[in-house]
Parts: sequence; C-alpha cells; structure tokens
Amino acid sequence: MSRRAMWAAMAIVLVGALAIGSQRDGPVTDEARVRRIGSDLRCPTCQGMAVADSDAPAAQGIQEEIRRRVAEGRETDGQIKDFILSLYPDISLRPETRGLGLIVWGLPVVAAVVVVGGLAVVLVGRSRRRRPGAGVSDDDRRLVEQALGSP
Amino acid sequence: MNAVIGTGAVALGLAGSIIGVVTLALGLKRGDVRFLRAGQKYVWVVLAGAVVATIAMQAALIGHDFSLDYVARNGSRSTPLIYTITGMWSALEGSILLWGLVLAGYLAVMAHHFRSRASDPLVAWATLTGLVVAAFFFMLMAGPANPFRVIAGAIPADGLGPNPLLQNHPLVAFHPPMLYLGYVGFTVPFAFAIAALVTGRLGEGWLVETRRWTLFAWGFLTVGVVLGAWWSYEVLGWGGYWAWDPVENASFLPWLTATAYLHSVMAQERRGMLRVWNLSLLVATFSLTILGTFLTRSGVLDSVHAFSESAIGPMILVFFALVAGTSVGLVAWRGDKLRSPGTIDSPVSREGAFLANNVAFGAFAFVVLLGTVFPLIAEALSGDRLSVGAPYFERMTMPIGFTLLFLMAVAPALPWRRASTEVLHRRLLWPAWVGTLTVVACVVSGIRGFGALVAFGLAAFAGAAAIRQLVLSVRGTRAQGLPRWRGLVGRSNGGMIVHLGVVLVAVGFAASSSFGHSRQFRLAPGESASLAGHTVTYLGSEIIDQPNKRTFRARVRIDGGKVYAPSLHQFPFASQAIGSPSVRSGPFDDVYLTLVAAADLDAPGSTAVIGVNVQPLIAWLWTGGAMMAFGTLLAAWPRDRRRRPPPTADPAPDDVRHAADGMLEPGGMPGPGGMPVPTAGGVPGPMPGPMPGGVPAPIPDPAPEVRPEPAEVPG
Repeated sequence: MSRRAMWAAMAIVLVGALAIGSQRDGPVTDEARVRRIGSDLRCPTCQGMAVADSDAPAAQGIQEEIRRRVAEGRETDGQIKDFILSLYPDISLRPETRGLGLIVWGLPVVAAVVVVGGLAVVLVGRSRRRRPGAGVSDDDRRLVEQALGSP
Repeated sequence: MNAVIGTGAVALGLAGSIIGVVTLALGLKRGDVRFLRAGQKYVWVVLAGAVVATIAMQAALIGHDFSLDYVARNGSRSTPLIYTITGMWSALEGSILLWGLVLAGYLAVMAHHFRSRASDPLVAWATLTGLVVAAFFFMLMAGPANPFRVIAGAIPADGLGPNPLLQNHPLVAFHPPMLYLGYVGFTVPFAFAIAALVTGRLGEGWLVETRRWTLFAWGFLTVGVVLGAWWSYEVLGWGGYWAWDPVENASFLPWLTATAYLHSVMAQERRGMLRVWNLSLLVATFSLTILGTFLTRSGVLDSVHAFSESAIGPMILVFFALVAGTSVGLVAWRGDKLRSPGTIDSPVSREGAFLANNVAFGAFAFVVLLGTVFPLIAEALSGDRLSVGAPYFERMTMPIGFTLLFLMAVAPALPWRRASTEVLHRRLLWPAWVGTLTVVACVVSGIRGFGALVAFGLAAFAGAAAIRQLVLSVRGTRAQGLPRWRGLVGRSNGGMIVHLGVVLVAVGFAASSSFGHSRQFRLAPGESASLAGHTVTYLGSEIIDQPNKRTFRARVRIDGGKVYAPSLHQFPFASQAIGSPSVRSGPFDDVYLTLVAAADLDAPGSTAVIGVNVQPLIAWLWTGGAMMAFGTLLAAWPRDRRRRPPPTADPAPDDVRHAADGMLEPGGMPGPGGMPVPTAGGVPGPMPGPMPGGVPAPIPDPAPEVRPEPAEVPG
C-alpha cells in the first residue's frame, strides 16, 4: 500500500467513525434538557455555581420551574431560559452575543486570526525569500510576469 | 507575647529586605564586591524573620492565644490540631505570611546556590529583585494585612475557628502550600529575567541557570492546581472539580504561561530564537501570580474559594502595575539587544511546533483572563452585573485544547529545522492509527458525541506518540550500555511522561464532563434507587456530636457492597450546614453521594434526600496529575556526569539525541556527540566577570546542519 493510500484510508476510517459517532444517542430526555438549561444559569444565592449543580433552595426552586416547563413541552430551551432571566436578570452564565458580550466572544477570535495570519505571512515571506531567487525584488518579478505576458 | 515576637519578626524581615536592596544597589553602583557579598547575606535575615513570624503564628494558633485578632477569627479551642495548624492559611493575613515564608525560603536557597558568585552582577541583580518582592510582601504584613494585630477590646474566651469548608478535609494541609510553592517559585526565574535585562546579558546563560528552578515551580504549581481540583471535588459536594471560578482561573493562568515558557525556552536554547517572547512569558507568569492574588484577595470578584478579603487590593494592584510597567520598559529598552540570531526555516519543524504551542497556550491564557476579568470590565463600562461562567469557558477553550492535544502528538516526532514527508510518515503513522482505532473502538462500543470522540482520539494519538519516544529513548540508552531507567530521565523523557499525565487528565476531563449522570432521590430507610447502572440503598442515619460540629450521617450501600456515609455538618458559627460527600472511586467510574436533606431522626422511618452523581474516569484526573508530578521530577533529575558518553561517541539517532536535549550543562560543556553548545551573549556557568557590553556574539548555527536523517529502528 502506498504511503498516500495509507493516510487516505486512515482519514476515511476516521471521518466515517466520527460521522457515526456524532449522531445523537436516542432522543433528548427531559432531564437532559433541564440540566442543559440549568447549566447556563447561575444560582442566585450561591457564588458562581450553576443552578444545575447547586443544592441551595433558590437553585432548586428555579430547577423545579424549569422542570415543570420542560414537562409541559410547549417552549424551547431558549424560551424557558429567557423566562427565568426575566425573573432574575443577571444570572446568565453565558454572556449574550450582542452588545458588550460581543467583546468577550469576539475578541479572542479576532486576536487569533490576527496572530495566526501575521505569523503565516511572516513565515511564508521568509521561506520565499530563502528559495533560490532570493533577492529578487517584487518589481523584478512584476517585470518578468509582464514580459511573459500572462493572458 | 506572640504578637510582640511576630510583629518584631515581620519588622526584621522588612528591614532585612530593604537594607539588602540598598546594599546591593550601592554595590552595583560602585562596583564594590564587598557590598554585593554583604547584600546577598541579608537574604538570611529575611528568612529568619519569616521563620520566626511563622513560629509565632503557629504558637499563637496552637496555644489558642485569642489576643491576636487573626487567631480569634481563625482558631478555636474545639478545632482539631491539624486544622488549627492549617488555620495559618485559612484567611488572608496568614496566607500572606505563608507567601512570605515560601519566598524567603526560595531566596535563601538561591543565595546559597549562587553564594560563590555573589559578585556577579547578574546574580546581584536577581537577588535584589527577589528582595524587592520580599519587601513588598513584608510591607503588606506590616501594614494592611497584619497577621499579628492585637484584638481590640476584651480577649475572647474562644475563637470562631476556620471557615467550615476549610476544616473538614486533610487536603487543606497540602493544597495551599503546594500552590504557593508553585506561585512563589516563579519569583526566581523572574528575578533572573529582570537581571538579564538590566545587565544586558541576554543570551542563553540566565535561562540555563534558572531552568531547574522553573521546572520545580511548574511542578509544584501543577500539583497545587490538581490538588485544588481534588479538594473541590471531595469537599464542595456539587460533584464537579473545576468550575472556571475566578480563584481556579487565577491559579490556572500562570500555569498556562509557564507551560508555554517551558516549551518555547527549548527553541531559544537550541536555536537562539524567541528571546523577547521568553522573557515576556516569564514576566507574564510572575505578573499573573500577582494579578491572581489581587483578583482573589481583594474581593472584586465573587468566588466560592474567596476565603479572605480585605483592603490590600489597591496595594497589590499598584505592585502589579509596577512589575508589569518595569518589565515592559526594560524589554523595550533592551529591544535592540534582544534580536534573535536564529530564525525559523520551516513551520513543519520542532521549533515551528513550539511556536504553534505558544500561540495556543497564549490564546488559552487570553481567553481565561478575558473571561475572568470581563465582569469587572462590563460593570465599569455599563454598570451591568453579569457573569461569565463554565458555558463560555468550555465553548472557547475546547478548540484550543484540541489543538494542544494534536500538537502534543505531532511535535515530539518533528525534527529541528525541517521535516521531510518521509520522516513524518514513518514517525506518525502508527501513533495516528492508534488514535483512529481508538475513535473506532469508542464508536463501536456505543460512545456518542463529537467532542468526546475527538478528545479521546487525539489523546490516544498523543499518548502513542509519547510512548513511542520513550521506547526509542530506552532502547537507545540500552544500546549505549547504560541501565534502562536512564532512558526515562532527562528533560525530554520526563517531558514525555508529563505528556502521558496530560493525556490522562484530558481523557478524564472529556469523559466526566460528557458522560456524567446526576440525580437526587428521596429515600426511606431500606429503599433503593438506581442511576447509570449503579444501585444505592439508603440504610439509615445518625447524629454524631463532636466538639467543633454536629454531624448528620447517612449510611448508603452502593451496588450491594460497601457502605458509604455522606454527611451534613452543622458548625456552631455557620448558618448553613456544610455537606461532606462520600465517594466510591474506581478506575472506570466514581459514584459520588451527597446528603442533601437529613432525615428527621425523631420520626423513625422518615426519608432523607440523597444526591447521586455517577461520572466516568474521574480517577484518571488524579492519576494524571500524579504522573505529571513524577515526570517533572524525572525531567529535573540530575545527570550523572561521570557516566556521560564520551564526546566522540557516535551520534545517536535523532530521537535519542532529543532525549539528551537537557544536557547543555552550565559551563558550556559539550553535549553528547560533541555538539557545540550555543553560548551567545550571557556566558553560562562560572562567570569570568561581567561581560563587557554583553553584546550577543553572532553565534554559529548551533544545530549541526549536516546531520543525516536518523537511521531509525523501524517501528
């Protein structure tokens, strides 16, 4: 088996396994939904702990309300969360993706793009300079390209 | 009495550090060796002050000397001895004292180690920097965070005792000291970094001097962080171990930058690259320990671990600004001398991988820092109080974690300078198959979930790569006629064992956060409930009265086997009862029990609410942490010089050679294979006096260009 074929085979096996493995394992249970909503909300009386993790009475109360609404089955997770947040405005553990929240979500992404992009430009530029023909200026190149008359 | 001795000792420490700084500064200004020698000796005065203050504090705690405000708040007659002793770090003032003690200890070891080089300006500047830091902490103790403040008014007959959470698990005796040994340990490399900047000896000399110090500090910090997670798991009773809480983040941030440093420093030692970056990472690590102290001790952020709050915030913030400002200024001033002689040839190379590693760790630290301080920024900008919690951190750090696992798998196989596809193919093929087949095996055995599968696959890939390196190294040492275990020591090999520990932690983290189950059951005595394949049977409860607390204890049988006892403790001065979980740990999963509501014992047969939490592979986290500590020790293991192969020995295969990367000893000894050691700028080893100007000499390319691709054992 050629070298390339071996890696290609591996890639196919891997993608196939991940594709099967990413499918959901049965329908989402109510309890899983309650947990998921509760993980995004901070317990109002304890410091920094999620509603889903806390035994404090306030957290248990919120969890009961979430459980009731999930069992009714009329609202989406987002709607239930919005309802709880209308009662307790500042207990979201997940910053919103608008307004100030954009900074906390967006800044790392922007920084990553700038840093990785910058490094790529520098490294590519350097390796190009190192190739035979280093010392050829961009003007020279343009001249050659013109002379070759690319259509 | 204790107050007098303690206050005197703090004053001694403060005076010793200030006089030491002044003496060293004078000696450096005049070039007077006697002043430099004398200045270094003041470290011992500082140590004496710290030790006596600690003894006075312990004497006060153990002797229940409630005339001290601190003892009255954090000690009590009914507290068991171990928690009386740990009371020293149960609140702010005592924690600062512990910090001072550890710092004085480090400075003393440093002074002893460099005693014969007291006249070397590099050492003198480093000692001076260390003493400035010590002066700051003693100043805190002498002023706003005075542990020996005498109580106002009548002396109480008994004290309040430590925070209830800090007196029901023995880990409290280990986690904070370990963490502080890590935090404070970074002062030494930081001091040398500053010294290198000031003296202009910016080559690799100071790096080599401080390599082992950094490694030990990193090892202690790792152990401290893991023990903190373990404490959280065993005590807080919510079933988790990492909540992305500000205090946890504060300990994690310097760990991230220090880990980045440990990797990028190899690119500098080997190729003379990334000089400014490495200095910046060290400075950042030290600054982050100070910033972390500010964030967690000033009360600006809410946290489950914020056991001490006071008015020292502004002072710490000023010190942080001073550290950061001075360092940035020095780096800017020396910028021209910091130009690196080495450059990257190809991104697909060992140094390229270190660069990518640093970008990933930098991004990780940036995300954690941003998320931690964002509530403060938001409140300042708009007045909104908002929280940034686990959902944010998990979403943002997961891709970075995957990147790091991938790099961990690929980087050890990459040669320096440039990798050919041939080499990549040969070295990565079977580790990659191990990763792929792990994913297949997981899917076949019914595990679902993209994130977890990717994590398991990458972890297996990285683990296989690390094992491959170790096997090659062991074979190589045996071929040299050395005992087999020698193939496991040294920086690279120890590092691979640390990598295996990280793999265990990553697998444990991914599994426990993806596949946990938790539920509460209201059970009458004799009733059973089951969750995730485990059955718990509630047998009954009892009340135990102890001098310092009243305990409600439930007896719960797990899977028809042993009986476990989750409890609730009612401490006299705490309003809320504190739960004590009880955990059955196993290699595959943990069953974690909490008593949520105790039964009414006056009504026989009444029900209790038991919380049951089943999470897979939790034990892998602690095992991985232990493995990381063990690997750090191996990496720092001193090499036996007499047994080093003669310089004329055949060049070992590439992999084995990398295993010997840690062998650039101070003194510019030739490494194995007679490799010339890069010694640019600062000369490592015994200094022949200060370097004139310290201009980095244009060094010949340190890595031998003509090295043939290794004739490797086919694997």
